[in-house]
Amino acid sequence: MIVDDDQFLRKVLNRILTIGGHKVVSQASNGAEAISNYLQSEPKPEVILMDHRMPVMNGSEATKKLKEINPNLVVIFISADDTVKAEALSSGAVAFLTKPIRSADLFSILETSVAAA
Amino acid sequence: MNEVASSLRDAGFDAAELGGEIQCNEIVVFILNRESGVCPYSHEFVTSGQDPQLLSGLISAISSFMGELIGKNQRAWKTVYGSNATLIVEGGEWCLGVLAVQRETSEARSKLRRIVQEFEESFQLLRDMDHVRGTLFKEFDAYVRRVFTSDYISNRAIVIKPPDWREKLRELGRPSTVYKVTKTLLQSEDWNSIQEIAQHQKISINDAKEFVSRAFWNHAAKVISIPDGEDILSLSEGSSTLLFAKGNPYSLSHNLLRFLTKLDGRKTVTEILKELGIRENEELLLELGRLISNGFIQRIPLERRILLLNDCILSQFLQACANLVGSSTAKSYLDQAIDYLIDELPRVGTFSVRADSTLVYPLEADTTPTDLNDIYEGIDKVMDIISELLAAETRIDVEKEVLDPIRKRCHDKYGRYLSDVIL
Repeated sequence: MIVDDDQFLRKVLNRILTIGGHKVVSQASNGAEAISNYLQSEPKPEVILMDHRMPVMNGSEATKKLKEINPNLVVIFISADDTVKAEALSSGAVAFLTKPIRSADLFSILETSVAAA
Repeated sequence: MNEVASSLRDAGFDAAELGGEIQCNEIVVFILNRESGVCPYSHEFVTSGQDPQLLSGLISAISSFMGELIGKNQRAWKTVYGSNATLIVEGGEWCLGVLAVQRETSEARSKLRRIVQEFEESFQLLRDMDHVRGTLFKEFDAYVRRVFTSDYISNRAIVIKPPDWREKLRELGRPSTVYKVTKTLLQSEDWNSIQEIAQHQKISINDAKEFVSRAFWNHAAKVISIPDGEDILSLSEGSSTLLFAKGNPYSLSHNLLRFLTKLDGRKTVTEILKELGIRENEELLLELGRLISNGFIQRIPLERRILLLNDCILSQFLQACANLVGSSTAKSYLDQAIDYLIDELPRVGTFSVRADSTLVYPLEADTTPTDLNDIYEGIDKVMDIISELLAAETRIDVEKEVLDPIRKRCHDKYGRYLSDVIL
């Protein structure tokens, strides 16, 4: 699942991930929508790519709640603001990528995070 | 690259002089509040003497005037400024991003759009403020630096120190950062590539890139961006008129001219060189690097790379349809899809098929990233409609039997061009 209020970035990530052989099962534009979509998704996403700064509910809050639902869920933060890295990781994220990101780095983190989980 | 440096020195060129000739296509970038005209963020790529506040006032005035004239805010536009600069403007919800360049490239516009989106997301609280103080934008400036330099400063990029590089580094920030960057530049020779710097100084490529990027951003280093073999290049708007002018006024080398005439925004550097039977050599790459640094050539933007893949899929799908139901029926499927979609996505009206049933559509030099995005969506929707028509005609599982193998082939062909893009 891709969670970001930037519609263009969600589209681009969706395409890059699909090209890279991953399946994007859901998207959300804020943390609250992410939780709702996660609960309704079938199959459930194994990994969530999470932005931090979003309306309604930010990424850290959403991550805490999602981890309560599924402690094994892999959440990877993607944000331009690396001052929130500590907050993101303490909320349960397994990795933090600072924008702009390289697609190669994204695929590498996905591979290692899913393997570790 | 040191062989090139040696031969240039033998010919009497001085690195410091050459460093002065290394241009940067980007001149200045700034972001202004559309409503108040205040310019909270700016960065000068070159010391131009332009006052960003004056430029922002100009853009704000033009934007307001256009809004009054046509009744709405323009999303993307440009204006010529002086005799040698273009101001590219990308509009967000409440911000305008402006990038002054020597030559407009879609790559530059794509980057500008990204930083405007990020600024609006990060600094929503500034929307109603009319002044800003302090170092609020330090992190944002780091982000803008990474957007503009990540693919510019490649492994092969050449680094040259201007005469005043030491003075420029004083403005770098933390002492530890100043030390690391100073040490890197001090131990490097002019015309070293990033790869050579990393090897000689036994630091990682990423560290070398980061230090040079910081130096470049603070005008303590000049960089010639040398393309990688996997880069896909195209001429920027208006460049062909200048570069291909009769008499070769820019004295471009024979091999370079042959190379430039093959740029189509689809083939990689290596593929073109192979097609022409030209061995990849440092002099040619350096010439290309100069043209990139001056904005004559651009790397195709991310949106164009993604489009290549979808283009491949639909082209092969149309060919597969032609094989299954005949080329005239396949063409009629495309016509039906265009007829159905054109009201929603007018761009699909430009789609047509070649004699071999592959897809063709015009891509002008001024096609924006948003236009490329629309073309991508158009291709997706055309594929959906043709898929339904083909399934109805042939009763086969089109997705499984036709499209899946095609997607795999296209992913194999173009996937690697997307494996290292900047998002």
